[in-house]
Amino acid sequence: MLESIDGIGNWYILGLLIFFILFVVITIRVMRRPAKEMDENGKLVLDDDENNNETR
Amino acid sequence: MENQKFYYDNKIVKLFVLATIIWGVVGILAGLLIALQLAFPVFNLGLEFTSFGRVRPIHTNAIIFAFVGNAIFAGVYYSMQRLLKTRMFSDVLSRINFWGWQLIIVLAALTLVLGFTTSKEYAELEWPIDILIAAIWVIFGWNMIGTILIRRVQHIYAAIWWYIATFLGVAMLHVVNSFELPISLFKSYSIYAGAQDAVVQWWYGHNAVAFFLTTPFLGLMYYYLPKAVNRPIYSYRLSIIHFWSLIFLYMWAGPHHLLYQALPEWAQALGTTFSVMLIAPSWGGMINGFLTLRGAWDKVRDSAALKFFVVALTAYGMATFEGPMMSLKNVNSITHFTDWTIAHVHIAGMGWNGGLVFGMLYWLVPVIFRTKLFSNKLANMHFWISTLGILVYAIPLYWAAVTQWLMWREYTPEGFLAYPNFLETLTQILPMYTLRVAGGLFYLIGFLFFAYNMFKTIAAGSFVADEAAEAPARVDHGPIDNDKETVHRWLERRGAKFAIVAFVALAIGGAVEIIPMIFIKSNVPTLKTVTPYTPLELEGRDIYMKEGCYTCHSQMIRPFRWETDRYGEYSKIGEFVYDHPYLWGSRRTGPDLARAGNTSSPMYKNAAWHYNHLMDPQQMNEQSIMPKYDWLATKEVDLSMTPGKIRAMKMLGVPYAEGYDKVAVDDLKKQAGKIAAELKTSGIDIAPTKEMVAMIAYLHKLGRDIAPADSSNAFFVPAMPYAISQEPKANAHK
Repeated sequence: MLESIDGIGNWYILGLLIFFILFVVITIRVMRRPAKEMDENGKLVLDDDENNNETR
Repeated sequence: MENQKFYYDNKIVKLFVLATIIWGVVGILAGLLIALQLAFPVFNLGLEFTSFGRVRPIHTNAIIFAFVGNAIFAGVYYSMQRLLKTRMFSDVLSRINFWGWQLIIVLAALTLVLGFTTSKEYAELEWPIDILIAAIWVIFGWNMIGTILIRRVQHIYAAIWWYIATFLGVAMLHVVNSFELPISLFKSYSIYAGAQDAVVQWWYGHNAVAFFLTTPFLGLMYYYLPKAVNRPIYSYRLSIIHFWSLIFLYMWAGPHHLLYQALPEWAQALGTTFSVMLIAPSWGGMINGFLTLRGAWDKVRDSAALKFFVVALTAYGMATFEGPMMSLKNVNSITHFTDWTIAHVHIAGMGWNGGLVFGMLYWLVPVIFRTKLFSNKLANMHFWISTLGILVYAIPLYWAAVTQWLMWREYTPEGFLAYPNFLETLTQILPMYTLRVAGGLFYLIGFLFFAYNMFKTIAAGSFVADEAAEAPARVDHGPIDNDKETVHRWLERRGAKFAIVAFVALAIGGAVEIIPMIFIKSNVPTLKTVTPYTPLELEGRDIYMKEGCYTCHSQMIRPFRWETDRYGEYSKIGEFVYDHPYLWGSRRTGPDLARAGNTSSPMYKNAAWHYNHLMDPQQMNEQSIMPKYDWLATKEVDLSMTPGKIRAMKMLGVPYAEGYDKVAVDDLKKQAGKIAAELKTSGIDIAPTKEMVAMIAYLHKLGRDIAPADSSNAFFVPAMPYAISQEPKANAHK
């Protein structure tokens, strides 16, 4: 059992740091991927046997 | 490579679709009933089983877990098979998932009607059903992970990331929030107390919104919107960034439900900070959805499915902007405890969740039944009437919220509350409650159009339970190739590792929020004057929970002058250390009761007043909308349960004396006798063991422990002294 909440603010400053570091790293890495690869990934959802039903 | 032949399981999708439609009608009907009850109390029907406090949790549970839950399963089971090019891992698990979930819904409805509740919002179900939920959820996850492992595609599409996060998030939330100590088949006490229970509950409550009402729906959006518009999602890059940001940030934001309440400042700051940050990933999802429609807006004119997707995205954008704004303390002081919250959740529920379910099913049902939609005209009518319904529902409630808040804080030039009687502020907004009924009715009518359209479409179609498909077998690409792929690209073809990373992202926020609250002693300062509930008060508290009083009455006075003048001294964290569970409430349809037992508070009423008020509130105040609770005067307290309740509380750290359970019933009778005798002096003849007496005892306990020492509070002294000095309750949570 801890006796005091002194320094508890460090917990969420640490959380914010984790978030911002990961956010920046993920964003940079993702943005550097070739557009072609990203487009192919996005099209996976349309790559099946179902007929599109948009006009129904 | 040669194609492998296999069959998609459409039958499980059909079952979940039918359940979605049926439970949707039930959930909306329950909502309409409670809306009617608030506008016209006669609709409580004078029965304990149909009173607002019992039906309100039925509405929320039916909409969230029955309507939305079945829609999630329908959408996931259909899309997952297509995206992974395989049948579900196990038909048996699929069937157990379906029938188990329906059993949970039926048991939930029955137990809630009968008053078996934990009183924790959206987690009201008692422990046997909690265990059943956990078991069925694991079955769902097992089937999902199994399907991912046997897939025929390399990369796991974005929609499935959201399904994985949903499974992991809900599992974590449900298990942690459901830790409770059973004392019988239908009764348990939360192991957490007071502020700790509140933090855990709203970590759960907020993230139930996140991981049951948001993440699965984002997954469904990532599949069904591109299918309906026949073009890929606008930005796959954005989908990666907003997925990880959203699942990480959501878990931290729970304390924004407890601003200005008896919670450490650091926890409130945490909730506000992360709530504001949540706008970014939330709007990332909304923008990705809207931009998927770029160049295809002409299709929206002709397609009811797309119209509903547009409503869903609009409502999502509105709600995810409004939510963070409501997390700002100055805004929260207006929105909390008023109808603003109700309007906010219905914009999200009716617009985002409802809109996405309707959009999905208008596309999906004709596909799996190989036909056209029965009537586009009817679908368009559904769209317009339900959209109108959302507006007619929400706008009056926003108006009601601001009106009531302004009245609560209005002072006369002499410095007195302008509307000291709570009822004055309530009667002012009753016309808005009538309008809300009209909004709900519009939504129900639209839903009936939808149900009729669906059943006619199903009847006209030809259903193929096992749909033939083929795809080449998956070739494992092995370990990460640093030259050709990023870590994320590698993770996308590693289902189990993806799930582990997602779990870590989810767990960090919850751990930071909850662990310090439970394990740091000074977070919950103990007040020496605060004593445990007497056996009679404990029984009264259980009746208060059983009747759902917490759905309308808060027990949390915020440190505002206009609250302390109306209700009494503001609430302190140490007052709640014996509250298993906490009962702070989240909406004040009636006045706050935190000082109902404190004779120096404006809220204090004597026993005879409470008796008469509970018997017939309208006779005391003609404009009151509170239901009658006259059955409390005839029903007996179950004394056989009392010793077990005392033992359970002692086990949870409440400092009753050793062996007190053996004399608890005697103490209960002594205290009940005093109250019955007091009532007798007012000409009220009631047996001491009736539930009414226990309820009055409980109401007179509220706030009494912080009353001035010389006040005339005449309360009960137990036969055996509490062991407070030896064992402060704050230590009992080790």
